[in-house]
This record gives sequence, structure tokens and C-alpha cells, in this order.
Amino acid sequence: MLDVDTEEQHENFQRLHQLIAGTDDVKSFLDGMTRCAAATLSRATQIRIECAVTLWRRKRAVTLAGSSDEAILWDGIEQGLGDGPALETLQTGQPVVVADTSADNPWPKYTSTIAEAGARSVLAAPLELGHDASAALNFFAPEAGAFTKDVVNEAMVFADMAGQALRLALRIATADLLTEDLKAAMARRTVIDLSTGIIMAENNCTQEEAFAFLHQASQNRNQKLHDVAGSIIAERNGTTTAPVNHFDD
Amino acid sequence: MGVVEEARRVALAVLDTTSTTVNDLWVSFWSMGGNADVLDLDAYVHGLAPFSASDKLALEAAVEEISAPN
Repeated sequence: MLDVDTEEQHENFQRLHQLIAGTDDVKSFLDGMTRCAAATLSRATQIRIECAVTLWRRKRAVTLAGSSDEAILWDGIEQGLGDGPALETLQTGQPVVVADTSADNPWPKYTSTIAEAGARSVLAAPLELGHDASAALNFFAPEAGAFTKDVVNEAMVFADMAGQALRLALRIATADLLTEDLKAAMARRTVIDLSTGIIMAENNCTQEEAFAFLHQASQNRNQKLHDVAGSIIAERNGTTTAPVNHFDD
Repeated sequence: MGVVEEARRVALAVLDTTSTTVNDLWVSFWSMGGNADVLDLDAYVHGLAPFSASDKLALEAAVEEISAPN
């Protein structure tokens, strides 16, 4: 891990962690992170740098974010082609620099497209996220040779901090989703359990028999299990309103 | 092959071929009134452990929901 040793790096660290607390979803976090990344390298190079990030999450769609619409577009071109500096940096874990997009490089199709659009040099830096996700920062400069060794080092320090912050943001987002799923499951299960209890009382039968009866009714009426269960409760309640449960935050 | 065995087979196929994880399947199974824990569900689906009659029914309902959400 790289050390956080300058005032500016310390500020970035704070800014990234404020972003985690202040944003509602991963996409907003990534937007803020790329703006922060672009500002950091713009200061380091004294030219206007744009930044985009692509996040791959296991079993979730790819998320794109950027410091500008152009940057997102350019990053999207690479994803569309399926080959380029960001994908290479993911595989090797090392930063990749294309010093001049109009000169010879391993990705002529990609670089000629973005060169026409105004990106003359590119830097890709990997974000360390563990085995469930991967992401790479793509920096774009309007001049060739913008990404010197010092600038690359600066980008790597930022990527190291951003990777840690993003990992935290992803964990929070995953936990939030799980909480939502479990709350919904609790409410749904209550309907099943309540209706099973009603059937037990009405038919003087065991829980297992009542449960089987509920399923049989669902099959016979070709209705969803929860709908059948819900209507049994509604009938008892004498209303058509949804069953009440008591799961609050 | 009975309906119940069919549900087990479909559950296995769902785990193998879609983005549904064992945990996702369990949440759905549990919301249908199933009582087995995640490990037992995993073992049953893979043919390694028995399941109660009620749990088989709950899994059947869960599989139906996952394969046809609407």
C-alpha cells in the first residue's frame, strides 16, 4: 500500500470518505470519485484531465461513471470493443499509459476513435477491490505525453485510496440490499404463517397439513401462494386490505 | 419424476445457470414458509440431504416464483 503523505492526498482521502456517507448509491459515489480523480490529475499536470471508471460486479450489471459525459462515452467505447488500456490494467494490475493516441499502440481501433474526439493520451489505473468486483480508472488528456512517471505515481496513490473507499461503498450497498430483501421476506412469510394458523384452527389439523392445504388451494385456483394466503387472512379480517405486520426499522 | 423432484432439479438449474445465489434462493424459500436453513437447502438441492414435506412445498413455490416472477 502507498503512503498518504501530502496535504492534497489527505484531502482526497477525506473527500472520498465523505462521498461514501453522502451518496445514496454506488453510481453517485463513482461520479463523485471520478470528479475527484480528474481534479487531482488536472492539478498534477496543469491541463484539463477527464476521468471515467467502469465497475464490474459479480452478478450485477456493469456501472459506468465519469467526470464528464465525454469521458463516459470514451470509456464506453473501450467496453464496446472489449479491448483497451483499462481491460489490460485489470489483467496485469499495473498502470497502462498510451502516450500518444495517434501514434502506434496495441489498440489502434480504440485510440483512433478517441483521438478524433480529442483525447490525445490515456492512462488506465486499476482499483483493488477483492474478488467480487473489479474496476479501473481511465484518465484522458487533451495533449500527448501528459502522463509522465510522476503523474502516473500520483494516479496510483489516488487509485489506492479510491479502491479502499469504493470497497467500503460496495459493502454498504450490498448490506442495504440484503436488508431490504430480508424485510420483504419477513413480511411475505408472515402472510403464509398467519394463514397456516387460521387453517389449522378452522380444520383442526397440524401445521404441515395446513401448509399442504394452502399449496393445494394455490394449485387448484391457479393463484400465487401469497395471494391465496392473503385472501384467507382478509376473509378473517373482514376486509380486503393487506395483512398488517409489525416489522419496523 | 414427481413434481417435487422436478422442483429440486429446477432449483439446481437456476443456481447453475442464472445469477441467483443459494442465499437468494433461500430468502425466497423462507418467504414461502420454508424452515430449513441455507446449508440444509443447499444440501437438499444438490441431492445430499433429505427435506421435510413442508420444505419441499416451500421450495416448489420459491422455484415457481423465481422462474416466473410475474
